[in-house]
Amino acid sequence: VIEPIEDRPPSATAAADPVSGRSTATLELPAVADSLTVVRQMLTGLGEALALEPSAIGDLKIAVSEACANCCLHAYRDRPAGPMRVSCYVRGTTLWIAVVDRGIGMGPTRLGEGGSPGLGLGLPLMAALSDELRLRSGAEGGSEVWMRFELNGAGAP
Amino acid sequence: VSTRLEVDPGAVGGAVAGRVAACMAARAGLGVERVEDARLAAAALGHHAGGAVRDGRLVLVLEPAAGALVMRAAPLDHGGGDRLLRDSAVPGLGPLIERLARTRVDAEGGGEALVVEIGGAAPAA
Repeated sequence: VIEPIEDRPPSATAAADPVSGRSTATLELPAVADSLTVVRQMLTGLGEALALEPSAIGDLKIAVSEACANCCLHAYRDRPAGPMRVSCYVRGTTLWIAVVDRGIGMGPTRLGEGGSPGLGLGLPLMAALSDELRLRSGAEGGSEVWMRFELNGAGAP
Repeated sequence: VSTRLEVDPGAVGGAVAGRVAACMAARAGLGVERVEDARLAAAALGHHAGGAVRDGRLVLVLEPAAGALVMRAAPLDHGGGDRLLRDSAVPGLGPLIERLARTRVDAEGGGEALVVEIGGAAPAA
C-alpha cells in the first residue's frame, strides 16, 4: 500500500489554492500508467452525474490524462512510483481539477527546456482544453496542476 | 495496491464510486457479471452513505484480492454499516449490496467500517 499524500496545513495552502473547502471527489492511487484508466472512469462518472455533454467529458479526460501521464512519467523518475491524487471541486458551474504528486517537482528544465523525453504537447494541450491552467510546486515538494473548466450550464445536481 | 476514493455521498458520489469500482474489478480479473456487481454495489455505497458516514464524507478504499475486489467504506457511525445496507434496498429486491456481495461490519476508529467483497466465493443467498 502506497503511503497517502498527507494533507498540508491550511496555512501552507489556503492563500494559494484556487478553491477552498472540501473536494467533491478525490481519488488517490499509484502514479503508474495502469492508474490512468481508473482516473478516466472517475471523470466519466463525474461528467455523467453533472450532465455534461460527451464532448466535454472527452475534453476533461484528455486534459486530466495528460496531467496524470506527466506525473507517471516524471514525478518519481528516480525513485519507486509514489502516490498521485486527483481532486475535483464542483463550485456552481465551475469545475476545478487538481493533479497532485509528491515527486521531484517542476523546474525550468522540466518544463519544456529539454528535460522531457516527450513531444512537449502535454502542457499546450491541457491549456487548450481547459479554461485556465495553473502549475506550481507543492508546499512540501512535488507538483500541482490545477485546471478550471466552465461547465456551460451544467453543474452540481 | 489499494486505491482510495473520497466523495460527498449523493448522485455524484454514486456515479464516481460505481465507475471506479467497475474499473478496479475489471483490472482484478473479475468476470463481466462481477464487474457489474461491483459497479452497482459501489454506486449504492456512494449514493446512500449520507445517513451513515460520520462527517458527511465517504472514504472508499478499494483493494484487489485473489479473484475478488474488496471495498472498505468508512468512517461510519455506530450502526452505520447496517443502516447503509438497509438504505441500499431497492423496492422488490431488498438490500442490494447484500445480494451482490459478502459484507461485514468492522469496528474502526470509534465507529464502524463496512467491508464489501465482490467475487471470490459466491455471496450468501
